[in-house]
Amino acid sequence: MTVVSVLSMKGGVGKSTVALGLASAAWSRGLRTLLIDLDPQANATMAVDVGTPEFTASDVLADARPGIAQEAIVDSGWGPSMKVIGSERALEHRNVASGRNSALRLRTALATTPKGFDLVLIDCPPSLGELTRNALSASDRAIIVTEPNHFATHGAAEALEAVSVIAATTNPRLRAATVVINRLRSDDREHAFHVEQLTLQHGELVFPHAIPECAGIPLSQRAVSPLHSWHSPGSREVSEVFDDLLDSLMPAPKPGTRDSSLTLKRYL
Amino acid sequence: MSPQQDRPGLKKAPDADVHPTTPPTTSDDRSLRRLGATTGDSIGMPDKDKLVSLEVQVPKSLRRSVRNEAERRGVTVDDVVAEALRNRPIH
Repeated sequence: MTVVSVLSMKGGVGKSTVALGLASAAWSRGLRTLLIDLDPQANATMAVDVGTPEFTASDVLADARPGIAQEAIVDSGWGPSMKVIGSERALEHRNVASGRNSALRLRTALATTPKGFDLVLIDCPPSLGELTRNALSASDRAIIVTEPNHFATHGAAEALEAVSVIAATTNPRLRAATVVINRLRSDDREHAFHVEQLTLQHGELVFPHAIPECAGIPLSQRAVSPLHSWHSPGSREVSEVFDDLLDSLMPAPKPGTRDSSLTLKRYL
Repeated sequence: MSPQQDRPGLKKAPDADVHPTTPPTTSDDRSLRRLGATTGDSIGMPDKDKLVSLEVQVPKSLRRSVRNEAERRGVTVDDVVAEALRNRPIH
């Protein structure tokens, strides 16, 4: 089982979109996936069609007994392979430290979760507060989402530092983060500039395939459907990027090699 | 996913219905209400029961736990203990 946190210090860069894109890639492969929504905005919860779950991540973190998370797991509208621990507004109460080992509450709550999941995805809130600390403390991998603009790239650097701090303190098994560039416009020179800067600053930590701006993403989210079930040329292209990203997290043999048309190499 | 048999199941967090922007209730607020309770310009409604002291001996770890919970919920230790006593099972 691989546990992946999707985070960014800046809001609106597409954390939930990337978490849902990865969930969609896992769904298309039939991987047994648990999506944990740690963002009080609950956008990921809405997008996987779980209605209003009785228990949420807020209740799990307030309780934090070993294994208690399994009692908050609900089915999603995406089918039997996709399970969810949903979010609610009250989750904001959990974004402050409470007592000793406060950052380990999620890890403890997940401790005895049945090993039936191949992948656990955690959608973080747009802050580096206690919810994100809990997510990183429970994770094997971290995905940092950024847009190719000035403020977002600054937020990405802050998030990378946060991952390093958690890896050096509460979670030594947390590996170096991957920076994913979202909403890239191929004809935008400002975007090209920031892609180059990100690559210069963070080198191989930057995922080599950017996620292009695509109208199909919000449409599929509004339709509470996996992106991989959304058939348009743009959606297929974005789906392939998420497939590649999932491969980088949990490599799986795939037939043939993909010809991804939008890579960072075009801008360098 | 069924709850384990040997322990109480997951419950809603006590602050599940509290909007995140609601200011925490502090002991100062309550003192203010009590002070004004007998005047015409009282800030809040008078409490139904008079507040009295109850001194008990508990394990130190339990006291720490209650203090932590009070801090996390933004209420006083008195509030947490009173709530626990109010919700105790009656045999």
